[in-house]
Amino acid sequence: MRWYGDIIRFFDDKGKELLRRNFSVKYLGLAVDYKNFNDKEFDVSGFDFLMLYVEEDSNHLSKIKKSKKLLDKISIDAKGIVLFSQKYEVLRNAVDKHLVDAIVDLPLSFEMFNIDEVLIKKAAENNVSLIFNFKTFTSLSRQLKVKYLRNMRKILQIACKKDVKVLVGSFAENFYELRKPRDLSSFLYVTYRNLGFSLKGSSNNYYWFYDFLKKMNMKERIYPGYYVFKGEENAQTDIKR
Amino acid sequence: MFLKVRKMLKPTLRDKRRYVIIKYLCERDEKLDIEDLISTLWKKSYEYGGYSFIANSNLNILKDLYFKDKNIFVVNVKPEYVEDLRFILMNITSIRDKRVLMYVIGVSGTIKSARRKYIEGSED
Repeated sequence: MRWYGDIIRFFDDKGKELLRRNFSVKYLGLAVDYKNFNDKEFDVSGFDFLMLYVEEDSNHLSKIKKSKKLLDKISIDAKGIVLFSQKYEVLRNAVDKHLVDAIVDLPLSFEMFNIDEVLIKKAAENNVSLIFNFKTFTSLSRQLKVKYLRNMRKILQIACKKDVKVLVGSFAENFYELRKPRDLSSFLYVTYRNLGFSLKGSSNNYYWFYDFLKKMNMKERIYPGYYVFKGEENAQTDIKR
Repeated sequence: MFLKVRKMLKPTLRDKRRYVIIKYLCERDEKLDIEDLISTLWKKSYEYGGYSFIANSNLNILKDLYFKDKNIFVVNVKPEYVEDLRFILMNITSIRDKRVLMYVIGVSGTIKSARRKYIEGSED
């Protein structure tokens, strides 16, 4: 049996119930804008990990430093900083200096037919994961959707070569933007198939949340090859690599 | 006069198919007509898969297997194209200016097992 995860941007009991019960989501992450975040007001009890996101701006570097301080106050197992940007230079700077844990919307930052391998290589060295945002994909025009998928295919090709961790998140802001994580994996599969991978070949990416949480120091729950969850009678031993 | 009887192909020569059971959740808990669902699914599959996808995948929406009470309908495709169908369903965000959430409950090889596993057991 496989467990999946997702990243959302809103608090809603109805949505949480749908995700946990019907969508069989094991890991659920919350992405919050650091401006709106107050450690006293936010109750992150239903979530497994927290991510503060920073959108690129003239002061984004100072925002990242502030968000790091905010994260230290919160007592949650896994936490990280995510950078939303469509500018190549901003992403390159953040990845080189190892300021962030993940970067989002990478396909939009590239010009057509001009994929830079260096950024992904640096991401592999500094343990920065790539996140594909399904919400932006749906909001794009037809021309940009084609560009997104084309660039995504090229990025995945390099990411496979360099062993960079790849994630897909719905980043839903309301109930009707939620997607089943099993369906979200088809977003990767559509591009993987064009590269010549089979469904089984691309199955490593179904376990992206394990990799992500492993990086976030959740070693108690995760063991290499086998994943045993605390508080459950039946330990999962069918997930092997 | 000889009656022309169309002979059925042997099981090994027939196209394999999978029945994909889909559930939708509409805004204000409204029920949608099957014709609206068919038209949006065809429109989206033209957009994302193209003519070749529809021709090769044997995409077919089963009108008889629409359970309006449970918001469930069934689509059959070839096994190779199930993932493509998932991708197309994800991209459906609204029908007739109402926000819609669609997801796959399960995939089965026969209608009988689809009824037993996913439709009869599911909540209203």
